[in-house]
Amino acid sequence: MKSAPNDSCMGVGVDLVALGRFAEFVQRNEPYLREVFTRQELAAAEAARRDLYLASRWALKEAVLKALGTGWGSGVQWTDVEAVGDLSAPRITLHGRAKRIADGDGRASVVGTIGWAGECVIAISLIDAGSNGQQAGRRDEIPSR
Amino acid sequence: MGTDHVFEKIAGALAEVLGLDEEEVRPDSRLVHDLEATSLDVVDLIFQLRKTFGIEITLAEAQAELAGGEGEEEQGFNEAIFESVTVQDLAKMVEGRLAS
Repeated sequence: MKSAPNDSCMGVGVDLVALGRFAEFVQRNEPYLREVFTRQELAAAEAARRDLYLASRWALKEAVLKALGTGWGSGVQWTDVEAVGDLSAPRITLHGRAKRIADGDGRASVVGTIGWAGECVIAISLIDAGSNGQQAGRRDEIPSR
Repeated sequence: MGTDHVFEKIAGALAEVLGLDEEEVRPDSRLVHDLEATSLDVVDLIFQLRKTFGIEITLAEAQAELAGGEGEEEQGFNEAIFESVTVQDLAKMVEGRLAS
């Protein structure tokens, strides 16, 4: 496989969540939320607009998993991606299998951002797997210069 | 519980989660391709199946049973892991849990 000039490996993911649909999910599954959100995420949501906060976290988890190239699959779990901090300025931490995939042989940095308007919440994530982490994310081949 | 009864209950859960008529759900309906389920819908559905059938199954177990390969490093990346899962696959998973 040809490498980018700096031999880095990037993955990009995006996801969109409808707030009304997500509110239904939360209402129906309150006892199970700890299976998809970490304790820190649930605690942070209590100090914010809860449905919007959790919907934005869900969208970001999806975006990160897409950037990893796995989606919800390959043994990766929702709580492997943790996003806390401000509503629109999340801090992302990877755990478990998601972290192992992102790290590959190198060190991955993961960033994401969130926006919302009316019923829609959108999240975008970017993963840079560093110098050797070629397992993270899908990528098109970029010819060497 | 008979296979038909299991299917009827799954169709009811799918109708609630996806906002469909139960008549739209067939055994060979694919969750993503035919019923347009998102990953949020699939997670919601698994939670509803727990409640409906009183079965104990974690999301990780459901993921492994339906899509295969929990923790299998060699499986590689699969962004469309649930795309080929059908209602019949769900019924088999539920029946397996009810029998155990």
